[in-house]
This record gives sequence, structure tokens and C-alpha cells, in this order.
Amino acid sequence: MQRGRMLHRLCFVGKWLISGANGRGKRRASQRQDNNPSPLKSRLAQGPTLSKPPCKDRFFHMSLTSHDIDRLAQLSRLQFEPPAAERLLGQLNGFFEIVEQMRAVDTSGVVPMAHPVDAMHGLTAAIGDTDELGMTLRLREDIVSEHNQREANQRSAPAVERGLFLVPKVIE
Amino acid sequence: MADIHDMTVAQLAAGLHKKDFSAVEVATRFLARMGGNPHNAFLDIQSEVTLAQAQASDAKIAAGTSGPLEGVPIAHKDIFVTKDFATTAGSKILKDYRSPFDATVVSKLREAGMVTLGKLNCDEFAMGSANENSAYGAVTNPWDKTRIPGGSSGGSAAAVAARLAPAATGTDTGGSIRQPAAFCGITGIKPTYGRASRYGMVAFASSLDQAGPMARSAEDCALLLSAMCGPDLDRDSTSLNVANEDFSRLLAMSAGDKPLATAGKDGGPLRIGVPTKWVKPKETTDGISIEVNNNFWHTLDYFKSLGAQFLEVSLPNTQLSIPVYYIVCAAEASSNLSRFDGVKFGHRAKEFSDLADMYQRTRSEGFGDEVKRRIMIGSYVLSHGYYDAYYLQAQKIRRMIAQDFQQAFVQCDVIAGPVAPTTAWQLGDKADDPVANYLADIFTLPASLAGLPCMSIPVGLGDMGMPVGMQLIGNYLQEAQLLNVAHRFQQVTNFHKARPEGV
Repeated sequence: MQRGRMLHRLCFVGKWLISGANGRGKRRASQRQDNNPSPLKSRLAQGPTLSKPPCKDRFFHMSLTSHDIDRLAQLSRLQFEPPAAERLLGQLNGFFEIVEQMRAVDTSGVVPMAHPVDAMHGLTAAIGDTDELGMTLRLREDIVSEHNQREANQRSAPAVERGLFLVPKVIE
Repeated sequence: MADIHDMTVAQLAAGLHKKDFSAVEVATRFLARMGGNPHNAFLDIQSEVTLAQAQASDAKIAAGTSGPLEGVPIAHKDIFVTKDFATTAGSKILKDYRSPFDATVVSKLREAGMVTLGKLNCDEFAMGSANENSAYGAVTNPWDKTRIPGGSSGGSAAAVAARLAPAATGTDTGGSIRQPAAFCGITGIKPTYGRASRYGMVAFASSLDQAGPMARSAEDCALLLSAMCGPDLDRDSTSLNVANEDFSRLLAMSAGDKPLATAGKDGGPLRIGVPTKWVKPKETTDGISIEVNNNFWHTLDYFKSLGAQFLEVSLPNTQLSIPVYYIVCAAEASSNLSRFDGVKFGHRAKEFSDLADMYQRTRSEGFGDEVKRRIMIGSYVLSHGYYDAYYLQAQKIRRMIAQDFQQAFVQCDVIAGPVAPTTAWQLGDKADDPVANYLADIFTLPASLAGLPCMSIPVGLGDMGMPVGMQLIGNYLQEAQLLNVAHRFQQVTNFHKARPEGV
């Protein structure tokens, strides 16, 4: 239930962010270039199909607004008082200014690197195979490896009753 | 005989083995020095636990069943979970948290015989470069109490520099071992990503986090690293399936006056690559302070005198490592830190209206500003419609950065550069300017993104008497070579023996 709601929220925020960006996208239509998304990229693109701007070129010049902060805070399960939110907005926009330089980098044909074990592949035979996304996948055998440690595990829980974690009522 | 608290790990191990002094004597000495918590370096001290461990070590020494580092004390960065000490990760959200188990690194060092002195202050969830982001107060630099010790392993660096501990563990996500080691004048190494188990390290950015030792010499770091590393395949999915090594093995070799003349590939001279653009011609400044720049060139002369050769290498995407790193680490942090919801462990808000409100209040009360910033950035770059352009683009450039290093290592054996553009700054100087902090990480981020082993060694003092470090970066799994280069340097220089006034 909770998970479903979270997913719904994610989609909602996604749509909202995109619709919020469209106006700016229009203004910048002349600056946009068409670039052919790689098959990998289109496979990974999970966003709603936008007939208009390819999102890579649209978002970069965009400054966040206080409305964005509110939505991201909600997504992150955080709250900010108005003065803190305003300060944060300035700081995040300052950060995204230095992110701007990534825009000019031609990464066509480069496979994303999920973690360094993947980059070591080939340097030593002991390192396993990686998949298309650069992930090395290793699973241990699905066998019981630890004894029940409920008491030790619940020692630092904020609210416990009869071995159960207590949470506020979710279903009326 | 030197004072116990002045001894290196190697000296302490030898003295304990020969029964020159007991583990209890050693532990007692350090506990006394830790009294009053100088520099706010420690977050938890449990003298009885430490003394009980020391007594057990003495029994093992007497019985002849001692481990290689039996009875030598070490303190752990509060990012490693410990059964017998509280673990907070420098955060209010984990105040008083007790882990039901020890991190693999902690238990491996215990197996080697080391005695735990306590838990060391650090930036909250290891997010910071100054140790000012700790919920339990800033750590001060033993060389100048008005300055930061660096971060995020600031407590570790300060404790070792102030002789509160002969060694400490640190973790390095984007420079958190190297930069505080440089700022406090000690030696620290981050091994190849995957060498040391991440099991029991409070997760910040899982594709970057790596543990390593911080001590007063390369020799000590080699001993500690050998005890810390090794495969942990069932508990850490990115633990390398590579047999552990004795990282000290090259150090003992006698190599004459010019030990680096034969330390390179195929017995040739060690070729040290200097990234163009990282440093400037002498006496100029551009993105790097004159004191650090001059010091770097001066240090290169020492390496030359040991028989090393120099060449320029190109790491063209260095500048991009800042946005790439801060996008990748924020994305991973926002995901990792979603576990702090006030349900299974840690802080829970006292008042709330429903479950969602409980999450929000708990997290807003429990996390500090920098942590919140990174979670927000992470949520943004992972959100629908932005993922490709930020997170995926960052991961692609990350691969380009890693490939740049492989190009460079065709020409050279190790890469040398500064650790940070400046020496330690004044407390509070950059506290309200996150971007200024991020920019100062420029020299440590590239090797972190690539997952390469890298270390910092002290190479003298700057204009204000603050330590300067030099960074050495090796290719994957070449820790032994790195440590050997650093050890050779430390054999003919005394920079690593410099100590803060009054310590």
C-alpha cells in the first residue's frame, strides 16, 4: 500500500516537474539541438513520451523554484521552514550551476559506470562479469546464515511491543 | 625507549611481542591521553571495554597465541558499527544507537589482536570536508585549534596527529581519508574499491565508500591494511574476490641509495605521472595555493633523488569530477538514507499526526543541513524525467574519468598530485557555503570515482605552519607498490615525524 502510494507520488512529481519545465522549454526551442538517443538511452528512458523537447536539452538551464523545493521535500520525506527552504533553494541552484558543464560533454556510446568493480573488469581474472549497465551481480546462496537476533536487532528501535515494531495506524 | 604514545604501530607491536610493556599499560596510557576529549575527537569512550580487550591481549601474548597486531590500540571512525560502543555516524538520527554486530573491518582488526580505544567524530554520514557537519560538534586541528582538521574522517586524523591513538580507521568516499590526513600531517590510504568490506559501514554512497587506515607512517598503514582487507563475499556484494595480500611485503626489501630507480615496471625506474593542469609552474597560483604548489614541486625533487622519473599525464575530465561526484553520491545517499524513518532504529519524532508526518518530522529533526541538501539533490537527479540527463550522464562521464586513468597508467606507474588546493582553513570559513566545500575536493574526487587506490603522505608545512599532503594514486590493486613508494620517501625524509606543538 505504502509502496503503491510512493510510486504514484513519484509519477505525479515527474509529471509536475515536466509540465513545469515546458514553458521554459518553449522559450529555448531555438537553442535545442536534435540528438539521436542511443538504444540504451531510449531503453532506459522511462518518462512519459514527450512529443516536444528531448529532456536532456531542456532541463539544464532551468533554475529550481521554491515550488520545486516543496515537491522534492515531500519526495524526500523532509520538511523545511520557509527561511530554510529559501536558503536551500539558493544553495541547490548554486550547485546546479556547476553541474552545467556536464551538458557539453559528448557521452554518446559511453556505457554508464555503476560502480568501480566494473571498470576493473579485464584487469584481473578474479572479477566477475558485468552486464550492459556496468553492474556486477553477485548473489550469495539463499541459505540461513544467521540465527534469530530479534532482541538485539530491536534494542535500538523507538517503539516495540511483543517483538513487533510499533508504527502509527495506517488503515482506518 | 620512546614514550608509548609516541610509538608507531610497528614499534608497539614489536614491544608488546617482546613484553617490553603490556597491552594494559599501552591502553591505559592512551585512555589517559584521551581524558577530557581533546579536539572533540571522540564520540564514545568505554574504558572498561578497552581495558578488558587489553587484558585479553596480554593473556594471548603470555600464551603465545597472539595475532600480528596483538594489544596495539586503534580507534574507529563512527561510521563503522560496533557492538560494544555506540554508533552515531555523527548524526542525531542515530543518537545512542547500538549495533547488534561489528563491522567486518572492526572484527578483522580485533582478530588481528587490536584493542579498540573508542569511536571517532566525523561529518554526519561522512558528508563533509571539514568535520563541521558533525551533529556532535566540530573537531579541531591539533596543529592549530582555530582550524578544521579536514573531513569527513576528521576525528580520526586529529586523534592520530595528537597522539590520542597510534592509528585509526577512516572511510573515503570522495577524499575523506586523504584530505584530513593531509590537513593533520599524517599518512592515510584508501585501497582499491572492494578491497575492504563495506559490511557494517553506515552507507553513504555505496559505489564510492571504502575503508582504510590512518596512521603516522606508510609502514603502519601497510600493517593495518593487511589486517583490514580481504574478500567478504557473502556480506558485501561489491567485495572483490581477490585474495588478501601482505601489503608490507615490498617494504622490507633493501634497494640501496636509489630505491625507486628499480621500483617501476620490469625493474626500471619508477615512472611518476604528474597530471598537467593539477599543478602550476612554481610560484604561480591558479586554483591552487602557492604554498601547496611550491611544496609539490619541492617534494618531486626528493622522489627524483630516490631514482624516480617524471612525466606529464593528462586527466582531461578532472574538472567534471565535481558535478559527477556530487550527483552520484547524492543519488546514492538519498536512496541509502531512506532507511532512516523512525521505525526500526534511531530517532523518532515525539509528536506527529500520521505515518507520513512521522517520517517527515523524524527525518527533519534527525538529519543535519548537509545531509538534507544531498538527499534533496539525490531525489531531484533520480526523479522521473531527470534521471537520464543528470544521473545517467554523470555515470557515463564517470566511466570516461576512469578510462582517463587507464590511459595515464600506460605511461606511468603511479600518479602524484596535491591532495587539496590549500592547507586547513579556519573553522567556520566555509561552513555556510556548500559549493565552496565541494570545489575544494577537486584533487581527491577523480581517483574515488575510478575506485583506484590512493594515499596521502605528509610533505612539510605551509606558510602558516599547517601540514601539506601529497597524493599518490596507483592502478587497481597496486596498494603494495603505493605503500612502498611512500615508505621509501619516508625512509629518507622526516616530514611524517613532524608533530604539532605541545603534543
